[in-house]
Amino acid sequence: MAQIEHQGSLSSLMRIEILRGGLLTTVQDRGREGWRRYGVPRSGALDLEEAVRANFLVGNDPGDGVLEATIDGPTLGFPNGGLIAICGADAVCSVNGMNIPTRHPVALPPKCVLEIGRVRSGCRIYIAVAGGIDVPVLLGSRSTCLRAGFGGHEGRALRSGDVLPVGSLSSRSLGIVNHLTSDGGAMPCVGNWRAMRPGRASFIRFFRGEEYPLLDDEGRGILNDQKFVVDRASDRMGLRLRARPIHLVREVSIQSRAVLPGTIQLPPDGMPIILLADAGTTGGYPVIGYVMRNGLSDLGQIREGEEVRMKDEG
Amino acid sequence: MPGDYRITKQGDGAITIHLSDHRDADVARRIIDLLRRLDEAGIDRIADIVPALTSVTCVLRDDADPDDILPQVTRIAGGPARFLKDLDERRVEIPICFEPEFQTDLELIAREVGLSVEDVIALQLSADYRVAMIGFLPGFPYLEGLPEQLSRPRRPTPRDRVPSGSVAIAGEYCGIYPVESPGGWWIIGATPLVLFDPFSTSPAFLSIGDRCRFRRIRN
Repeated sequence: MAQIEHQGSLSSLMRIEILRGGLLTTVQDRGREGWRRYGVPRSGALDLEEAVRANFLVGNDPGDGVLEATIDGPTLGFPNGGLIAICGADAVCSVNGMNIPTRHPVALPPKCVLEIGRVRSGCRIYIAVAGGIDVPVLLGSRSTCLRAGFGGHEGRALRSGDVLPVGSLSSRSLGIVNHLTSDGGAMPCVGNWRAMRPGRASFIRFFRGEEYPLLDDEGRGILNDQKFVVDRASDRMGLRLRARPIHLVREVSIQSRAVLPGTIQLPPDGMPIILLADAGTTGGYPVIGYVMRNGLSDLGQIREGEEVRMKDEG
Repeated sequence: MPGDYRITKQGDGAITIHLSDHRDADVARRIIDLLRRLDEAGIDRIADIVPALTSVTCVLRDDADPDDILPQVTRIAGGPARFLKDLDERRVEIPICFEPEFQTDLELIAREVGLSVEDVIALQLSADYRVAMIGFLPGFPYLEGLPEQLSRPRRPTPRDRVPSGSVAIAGEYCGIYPVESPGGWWIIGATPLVLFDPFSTSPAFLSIGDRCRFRRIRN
């Protein structure tokens, strides 16, 4: 009986209340493709792999909307309960004051409060809710384009008072809920399966870009050997790296061309920028490299003040 | 030389066809023609195609590799142009207001080029622009055709906030900010035109190749 009732309450109109927004929490999914010719960047979860893992744990489709939290997480209210999973950076999370593990599916009771704390390492946390964050799809995606103020929830970071709709649960999600609550025990119920976390690579591996041959010897040395510190100006548009300035052997004037997440630009000050998902779609700075695509998700966990090293893959 | 091209990979995520190192009217037409032919080919592993000033980039789907599409893209790049005579360029009029509250840099520019503000305005209104590219922000057009006297490097320090609708100049281009944004271009006026609407099925008002002229309005 309790199980069927619970199923009923989870299938009815579900929502999430934002009680505290955290430092920068936005709705993201896998981003929007096909609009770059109109200047629309892909956006989407910066640590795409962890966002997809969180969705998988709750029985969602990989592209369902999730919450991406940055460094200091939000406090969320679940008036009707919910099935959630938290992946990404390591942080202390609690439900009604009781600690819950990340990387596991957790069935929440009605009227509960989920508090996502501060990251202990890494940068971004992904909170998936069974049914997906059901904000409107714009240009093919639920992702937030912060620069142009559209998509996600009203095109902006979440703040106290916001309410987000949750979609209807898939049969997979309902199965997970049933399984978690089958013994009739008190909720929150934690599933005993856990998403593995692959280790983060120690280097940012990149392929050479069009202007790589123009690097002077010292610049090449700095790029490959130096530790770069991530500057405080880094955000969802790009990671700004600081070390000794890197120079080209000569000045070069470049006709603006398309750039992608992972593009490594060299602006006049000699401090490389690694573009991320919210970066502008075209650029005229010299390009010295492109981060390997299987390393892009790791970029989403690099925060200000961290040291990184680059590895030239040719 | 017509028909010349060079193909590069952007890491493992994209392939770019470079048509030239410099931009002129011929390159502009070839870019649009190439974009049309790539669109028409409908290559399934391509997630997006991005035209720029002298190149067109094919962005791969997450699960695809540049080598998957290289032969087909090479064939298309080397293939004959088909749309050069039929570019079907849309003509657009852009209302622009030069009233003092919008003229943030107009007086400075007028002073520096040794003209009156009205002369600078007349130059802007006389220009026959073309959308060379859309980038930097959703809906932000790079309009080529800026009168040479108005050409100037971007501001040494950008503004934290350029108001939405600002018409601005930098380098050899005129641009329009579709939303409020930090920006390093010199503001000369403002337009009420909505350049980008994400709720529309055609979200961007302007596309590459559109011909534009500005029409003065008073508030």
